[in-house]
Amino acid sequence: MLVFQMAIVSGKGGTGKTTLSASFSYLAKNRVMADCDVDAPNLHIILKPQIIEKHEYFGSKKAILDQERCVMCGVCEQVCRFDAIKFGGDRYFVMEYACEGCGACVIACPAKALQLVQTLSGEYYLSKTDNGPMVHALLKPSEETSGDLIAEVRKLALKVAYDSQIPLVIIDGAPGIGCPATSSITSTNYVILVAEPTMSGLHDLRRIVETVRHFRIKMGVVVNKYDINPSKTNEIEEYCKTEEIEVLGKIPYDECVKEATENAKPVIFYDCPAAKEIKRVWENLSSKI
Amino acid sequence: MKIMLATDNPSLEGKISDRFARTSYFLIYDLENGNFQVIDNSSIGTHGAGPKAVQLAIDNNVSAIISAIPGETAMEAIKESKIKVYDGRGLNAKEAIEKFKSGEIKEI
Amino acid sequence: MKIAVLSGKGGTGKTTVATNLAYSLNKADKMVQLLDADVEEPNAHIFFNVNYEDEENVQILLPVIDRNKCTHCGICARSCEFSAITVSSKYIMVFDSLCHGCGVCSMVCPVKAISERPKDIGTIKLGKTEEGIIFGEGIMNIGEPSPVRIIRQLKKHIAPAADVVILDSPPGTSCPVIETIHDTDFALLVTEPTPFGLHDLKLAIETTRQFNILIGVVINRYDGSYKEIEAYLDREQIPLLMTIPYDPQIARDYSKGFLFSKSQNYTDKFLDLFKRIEVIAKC
Repeated sequence: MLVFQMAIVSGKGGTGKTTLSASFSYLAKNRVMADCDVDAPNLHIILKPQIIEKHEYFGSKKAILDQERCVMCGVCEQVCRFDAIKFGGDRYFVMEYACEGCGACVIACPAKALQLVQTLSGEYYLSKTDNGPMVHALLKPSEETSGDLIAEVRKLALKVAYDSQIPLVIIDGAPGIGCPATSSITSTNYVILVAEPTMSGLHDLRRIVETVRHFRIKMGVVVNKYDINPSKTNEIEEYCKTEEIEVLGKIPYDECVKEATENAKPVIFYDCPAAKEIKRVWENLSSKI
Repeated sequence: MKIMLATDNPSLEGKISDRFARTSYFLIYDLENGNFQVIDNSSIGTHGAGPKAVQLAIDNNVSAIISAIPGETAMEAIKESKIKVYDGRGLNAKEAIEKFKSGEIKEI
Repeated sequence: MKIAVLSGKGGTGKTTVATNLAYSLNKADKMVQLLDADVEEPNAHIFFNVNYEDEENVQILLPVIDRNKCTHCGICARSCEFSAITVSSKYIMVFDSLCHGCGVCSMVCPVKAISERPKDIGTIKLGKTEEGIIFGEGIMNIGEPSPVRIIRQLKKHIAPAADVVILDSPPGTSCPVIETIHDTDFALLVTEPTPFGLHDLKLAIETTRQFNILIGVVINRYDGSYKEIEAYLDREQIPLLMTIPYDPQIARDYSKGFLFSKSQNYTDKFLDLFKRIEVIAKC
């Protein structure tokens, strides 16, 4: 049995990834959900998962300074390329958030006052939802989103899919175009890009398209709230045509989405134009699986 | 000659994993005497899994890898290292080794 | 005063607030600087006519191996925390995409076979808007894993002469946001009245708490129907500084790149917001 993985990303945040993922999670007959927005996860608010398994995630290493051993030479500050070691008040200290765990300071320190320590960066969970399993995670605030925690979420989701003989993994991707987004996309069979018809929307779409192109994965675009700016929607459609990217659907701006969101329910639970279009997009996608 | 197999569990009955660098286990199998060593790879999941896995192969004097199709970065590293990689999908370690010996297995 | 505009959740209106606040303060004759630190998807420039005056590259240093000197000892590969170097007795390979540019490999090479070459990871663009707002933005190159270094370099251009510096942050609560809010005076958190907004607002607040920074909240797309955020702010004694109404016209203006504060009504509202920030900052 082969598992089909589809990721929903957008480049820019707030375009409607999670709104779409939540509805898809109910429309799909048999699926594992993976919420890869580990920085500010939202999918659980609608899917209301019950946690079955909890795993600790030890991600980045950080440099720890032993003040007793420190001879105040400042070599660590000099070698650190990440501005993570500063002198303040009367002592040197490591700014954990900026430390990338490279070990340069550890090597350079003549007094062996520094060492790299693995830190607890977050947690990830296997949970049960109405329509199947869900894997999600939460990064501790101010941790580095290097994509590794997302790799764990992806790994577990795939494992659950194989173990439970579920042929589909739906990934609610991380925003942006950096590591978290690419970790959401890698090794998937299809990527859905959610775009908004605003000035920034097309600009941001281009950047995420280029990012996905690098992975050579098939992609399609969904334009959300398309009727708030029909001419921009048109521009997006023209762009997709030139780039040979399929436009999977155009969801109208619809009050019911606001109502659904406020009530923490998937849009497709309501009978409205947006729900209708989401269902149609899903039909289109199902034929590709 | 040593070969490295990416497997789901630490035995010759283990199925060849559908991932290379992020596989749970690597078996280093010595074709000369039939001995094998198990390397637990389950703590992987970090960046650089591909190169790490290839470095592991190099450090263990492996001449061939049997796994699923490696990711891009891993593939780059494998090509440079001149280690050959073979498609073992659908087989368990024992079967994969037999097919390798008889030349039936396909190079990636 | 340095104000960072952030939100846990993307799409709540950070850029809306940052750009309109900058515009309104500039109109009230303050010397304003607007820095767009959302370097993965910078949008602030869309709302202004920016006259760009300067551009600089953001670079990291990647290792270059002198294969004649290299003895294949493998110390560099073993010392690399990011697995960016692979070594065998016959070859050595550097994975640029995994390299963090930390310099450890060149430090530890016993035969000094490793030198470095710069690689561009992004750009900083600086200029002024036609209204006279000092403007700066960072743009991360596509394919780069992390925006932090670009944000850091952007912040080196904070204008000491500016009365107010506004930083439009990336979404989320992790490293890029921390880099942005580090060493600022006030964190203005923008949220939307939905369960998503509340959830992510809480995460954003937790992040700011670690840094002991003054905070205040703006609720965007407000129509009074979802009351949970106000209730939460009340319980936690976090000041609600402004609400921007749920108004399709504002959405349309945003989609066209218009600053809705160009109407005097809203300019005043943003000036009020600033006054309230000042009050909190002074206490």
